Amino acid sequence: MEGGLSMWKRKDLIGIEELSREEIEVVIETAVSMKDILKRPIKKVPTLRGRTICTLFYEPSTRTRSSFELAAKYLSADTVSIATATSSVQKGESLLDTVKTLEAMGIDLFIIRHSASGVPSFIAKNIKAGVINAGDGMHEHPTQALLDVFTVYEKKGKLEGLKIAIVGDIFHSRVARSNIYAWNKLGSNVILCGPPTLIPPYIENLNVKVTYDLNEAIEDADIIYVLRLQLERQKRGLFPTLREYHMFYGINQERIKKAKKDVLVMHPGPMNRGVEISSEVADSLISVINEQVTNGVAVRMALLYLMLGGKSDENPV
Amino acid sequence: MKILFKNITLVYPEKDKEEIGDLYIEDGIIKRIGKGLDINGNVEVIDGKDKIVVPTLVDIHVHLREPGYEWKETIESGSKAAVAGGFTAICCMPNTNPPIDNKEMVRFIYEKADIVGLSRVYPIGTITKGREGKEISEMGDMFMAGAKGFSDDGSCVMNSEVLRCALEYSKIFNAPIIEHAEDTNLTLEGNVNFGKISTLLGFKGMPWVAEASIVARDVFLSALTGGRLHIAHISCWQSLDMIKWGKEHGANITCEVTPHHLVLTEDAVKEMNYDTNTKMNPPLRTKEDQEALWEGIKNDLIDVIATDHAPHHLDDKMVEYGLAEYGISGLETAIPLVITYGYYERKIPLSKLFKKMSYNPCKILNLPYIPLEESVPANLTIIDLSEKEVDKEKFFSKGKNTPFHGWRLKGWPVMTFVEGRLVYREGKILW
Repeated sequence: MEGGLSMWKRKDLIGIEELSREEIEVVIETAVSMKDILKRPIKKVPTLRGRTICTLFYEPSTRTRSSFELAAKYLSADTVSIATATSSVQKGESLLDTVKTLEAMGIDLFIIRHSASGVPSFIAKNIKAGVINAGDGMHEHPTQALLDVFTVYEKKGKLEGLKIAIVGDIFHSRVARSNIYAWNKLGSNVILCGPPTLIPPYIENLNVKVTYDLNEAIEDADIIYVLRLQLERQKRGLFPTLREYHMFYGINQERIKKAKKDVLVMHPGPMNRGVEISSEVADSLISVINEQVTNGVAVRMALLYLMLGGKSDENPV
Repeated sequence: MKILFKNITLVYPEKDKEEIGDLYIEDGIIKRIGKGLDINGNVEVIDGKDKIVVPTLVDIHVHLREPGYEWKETIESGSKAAVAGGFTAICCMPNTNPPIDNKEMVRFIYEKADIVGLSRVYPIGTITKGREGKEISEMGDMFMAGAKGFSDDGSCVMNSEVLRCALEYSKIFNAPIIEHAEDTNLTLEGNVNFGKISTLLGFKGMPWVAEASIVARDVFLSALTGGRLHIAHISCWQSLDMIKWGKEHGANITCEVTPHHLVLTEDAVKEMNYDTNTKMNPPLRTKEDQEALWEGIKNDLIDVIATDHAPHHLDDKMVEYGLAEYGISGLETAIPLVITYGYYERKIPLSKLFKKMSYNPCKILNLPYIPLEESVPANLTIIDLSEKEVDKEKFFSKGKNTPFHGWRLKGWPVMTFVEGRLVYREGKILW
């Protein structure tokens, strides 16, 4: 674990795109130790005592926010949690002013989620405190991808050469983008699948295959990664009905027969049961969806430790 | 005041030529142009080595923000920026509040610009009342008051019948309809070009079709009506192909490109890490588009280089990318960008480049063009070809929103004469 601290040099974590394979591996290794802490009856260590973390969420979130907050608390950091509707520059305070105000109160690290792509980089450029991107628009959601690769690493022991099928709304998905970077850096083969209206242009440039045919995507897959379908996309005419979507791209027991015997089904949550994934699959033994949630806390503890750990002793009072 | 420039490069855009010679200006009048001039008396002699002189530089696409948005720019600050940027005249777009959609507003612009008394400021009137895209405005009345063209710039005239009527009606006074080509159904919440960068950065993207389809429609409407059409800020090769088709079929069309679309591509949005000074409308496009635009400059398919000077306050830009205003401050970087990237990097002759910033736009909008000739008032710009760093803090424009801050560019205006008056010299406005 100590080795991890010397390896990690970043003030901010904005995306998986800029991480090296080694950095991802350090997070995974650190998360293994953190998961041990989670298994203890007393889940608290003093590692980050005196450090202050702010979760600033401009978008609704249950699991990511509570996951970060618990991770911080298990490491004895103090937390402030702010959830708010999307800011408007016309009315009230600008986003940057809000963040600078909080920074002036002594925040060491901000965890930011925002519906606009680029917000965490924008904030990170303008403040001294660290920033972790907890999801920005359609750009990246790096901690989700880290917990996903950690989960597969735990289950499969390796990632090299695995076939990962990511299914659903790729276009609007920050989870998909972060996952593509992460799997690729770790040597897996990624295939994307969804209706053409939900596949972004030039995505093949990221060294992935694209298919509109779910059977092709699932065939011999080691991992089926199902994305959440935001129901409001239908109103914009990107697909005709939820019924038809499920017909072509819904993951059910019949479909997964084409995958490898030991396939794992993953979903970042929250699920629309009966739309992108059937309950039978979601609740089956091959589903690791709840495991993902637990690992989310471990991975976030690992990141908080890597980004804040060891520094509090520099100037002992 | 007597100034003699020795061995300066004289650029004659209207004659497609440049030559080295001496230029003598006395009391604001060009007295002599020739070789080896020797003038007696109290004359300031300036070595013209590494300097060029260009007549009547105009920027026909400028947002002055007054009235309505004076914190972004005013006619005064914009006029200063114009002459500091080397322009003797500018045309201001009518998307003010209230918009320039009637005679009184046209006269207001002239009055304010006359009081300032730096560059000439020629107003463009709206195509439709209130810029609403519904009914054509009193173009005739505005024309008689001095409007030089008509545009709903900032918005596209989405209703084809309205644009058809405007193109027909404006034939009375032979002033062009200037179109901002954008199918807004396709660009809603787009932010950047639709393509590899929108995918990487997580934006919906604005596809080239949004522009080119409207350009195609407008070219057809111009062919149908015989009306004069000028397409503003072309950004993609497909639009150029449509314009080429129109010109080959005799349609009465011209078009312009901005320096930023010539110099930057969509990659800048990523390289500059979501810097909102890369947010433009139309968006920065691909390398392929950029090459096509330079080709259009070389083969004269593109008639005009204009800045689309879009000054914004810091508060409008220091925000989330999606919430930031579109556009950049362009007046004070246009000439060095064109010289650095057009002349030095691509070896395009100065006369060809500057024809698109002087003679051509003057002809299109019927603005007075004062050439480099003996016995005419000096209406010209002296440009120093040496290299200097862009410093947005030194802009006269209120808009410090530039992606070029810190760039090293060659070709900075050092003296600007407007109709006989030296109004700008080496960083100072001379009232």
